[in-house]
Amino acid sequence: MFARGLLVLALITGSPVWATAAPAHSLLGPSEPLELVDDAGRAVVLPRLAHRIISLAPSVTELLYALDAGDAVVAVTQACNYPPAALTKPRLGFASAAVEQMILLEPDLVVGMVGMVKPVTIEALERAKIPLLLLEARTVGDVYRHIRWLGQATGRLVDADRLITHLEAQREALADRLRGVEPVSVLYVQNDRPLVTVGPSTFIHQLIQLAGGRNIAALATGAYPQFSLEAVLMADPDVILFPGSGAMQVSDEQRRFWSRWPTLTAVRRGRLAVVDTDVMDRPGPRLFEAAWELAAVLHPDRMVERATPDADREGGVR
Amino acid sequence: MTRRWSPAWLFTASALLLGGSILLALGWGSVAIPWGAIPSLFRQWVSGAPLSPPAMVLWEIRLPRILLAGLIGGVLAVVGASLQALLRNALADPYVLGVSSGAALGAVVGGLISHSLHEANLVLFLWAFGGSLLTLFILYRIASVHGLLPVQTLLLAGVVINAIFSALVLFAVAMVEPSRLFGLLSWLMGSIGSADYRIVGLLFVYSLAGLLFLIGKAEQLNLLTLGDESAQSLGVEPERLKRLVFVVTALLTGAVVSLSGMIGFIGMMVPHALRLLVGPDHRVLLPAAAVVGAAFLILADLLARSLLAPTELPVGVITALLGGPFFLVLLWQRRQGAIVSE
Repeated sequence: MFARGLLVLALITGSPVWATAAPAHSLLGPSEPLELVDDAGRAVVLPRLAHRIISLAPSVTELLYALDAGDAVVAVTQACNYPPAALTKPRLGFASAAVEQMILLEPDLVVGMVGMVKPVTIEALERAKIPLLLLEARTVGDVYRHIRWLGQATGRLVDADRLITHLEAQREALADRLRGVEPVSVLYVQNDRPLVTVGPSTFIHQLIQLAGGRNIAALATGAYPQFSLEAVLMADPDVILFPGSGAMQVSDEQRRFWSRWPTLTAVRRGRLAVVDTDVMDRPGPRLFEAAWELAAVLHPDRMVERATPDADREGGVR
Repeated sequence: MTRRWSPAWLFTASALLLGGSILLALGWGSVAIPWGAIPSLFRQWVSGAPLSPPAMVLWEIRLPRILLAGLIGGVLAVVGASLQALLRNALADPYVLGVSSGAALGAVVGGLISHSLHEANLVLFLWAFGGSLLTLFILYRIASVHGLLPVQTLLLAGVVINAIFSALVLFAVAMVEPSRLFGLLSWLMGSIGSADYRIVGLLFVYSLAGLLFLIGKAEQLNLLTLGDESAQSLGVEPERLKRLVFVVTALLTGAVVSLSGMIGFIGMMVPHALRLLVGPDHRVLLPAAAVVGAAFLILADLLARSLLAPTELPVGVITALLGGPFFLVLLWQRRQGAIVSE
């Protein structure tokens, strides 16, 4: 709701207002230095536009490509597999080797996710005077802010605005489709032995809500809590989701495990499904595609047409 | 010195403790089930009618888990007591000696090879058994001097083996895809996850056999605590006895770790406390350790699953938080005497 209000405001005033952390700089021209406070609370100063960027997360890689800034990307992680063009970029190795690799690449910006970049890496980059931008995405608004920041850093404010407008359109289309729908309760099985699910601070939790679902672990402690099977039985989820990539089949092992509790609504109705983690777990430009896919699982009756409102867009986003 | 409890009184007390723990654990958990409702839920269960959710929680999740925790706790306590007799040191414990981490490493390797860390299965068990046996073998080879086992070397070797094997498990953690991380980490932290009656039944028969074997050797273990030579002069073959007990404890540890990961310190705390109460006679100590170890892990698991409900803690965290300080207190009490010999 909040983000939508901001969009309307942006359309009316013609000025981008997403960069709430540094609104004064959003109007500055590309030659001005960029200063902002990132999601880790660190001051980040970019003396000029970034041309050599290292992405430390698949979602960041996707965002940069969606902003048409793929040429400025000089290295990505092992997990960055989208868009296909990103596969041609040099890939970073593990831990300390990666720090050396990074410094040798002489980047003018490194972008990673809060909690995923080790403190030693952060220190090494600071010593080498390489700007590091750390992002944390829990909501759609966070993703919009990141788009703005990356747009500013690469001098692609117009692309950033266009991407946000596009995402807002997708959000609206999805909200239209799901209007008045009764949320279905969802158990997301991050791991089954022991049972680990997703807590309210994760992006997946947010995505489940966007897709017309209600995470039964909304009150759990921690981002990836080990969860009580007793609580699952009492909450009686309508749908049980398993993360996967590649073969989108619920494994026999998982089916056997859950069929031991035939009273569960999800088991009785056979509503066990696999969702693609490559899309679900990435707060990037495909987030509403992920939400749409998820909504198709949670509310198949509402989502009969599978086509996303993406067909009219060319470029970075599929 | 405190007055020792008679065996009859001890077994009555520990049976009451175990029964009380089971009842407490049945009525308490992330889902509140009043004790008053248990009898009617029990009738529903035995009648064979389709179970209501509370009955399902009680009989299909909570009870098998309580039984599994009890079996695992009992086995760990008995294994600890046996190793202590063998090594003549009250600080010995499958966790401290690295036998658990050997089993955990075996299970992780087996799980990665067979692509199944999810279910309790024979492959995991065999690998875990192999890991714990290998650890005991290495320990024995490194620490034995002229066929004897000086305890200092043994404990130090155990500590180092523990570090190496834990590092190898962490190496596996660093290398696998993130989606399998939780399964791997659970081996390191130790948790009683879901249980079913089939597993509980198998483990019961299996561990009962191991336990009876060890109790059968109780008298020889008693003699062994007098020293290898004295034992030999009294008709015990110390090396043969050690090998047998090592293999049986490895079999038991492997089974338990393949089901629950590394749960520490029970094998040290429970026998130690019992020795203060009943003295060092293994004919009493071993069965008492089984019962009290069972009650102890049932209560620790009760804490693990209800402290932050519906989030669960790994029970290994609870036992380590209790056991670590206990270990330190023991070391402190002995700091003036020799720590590693009697």
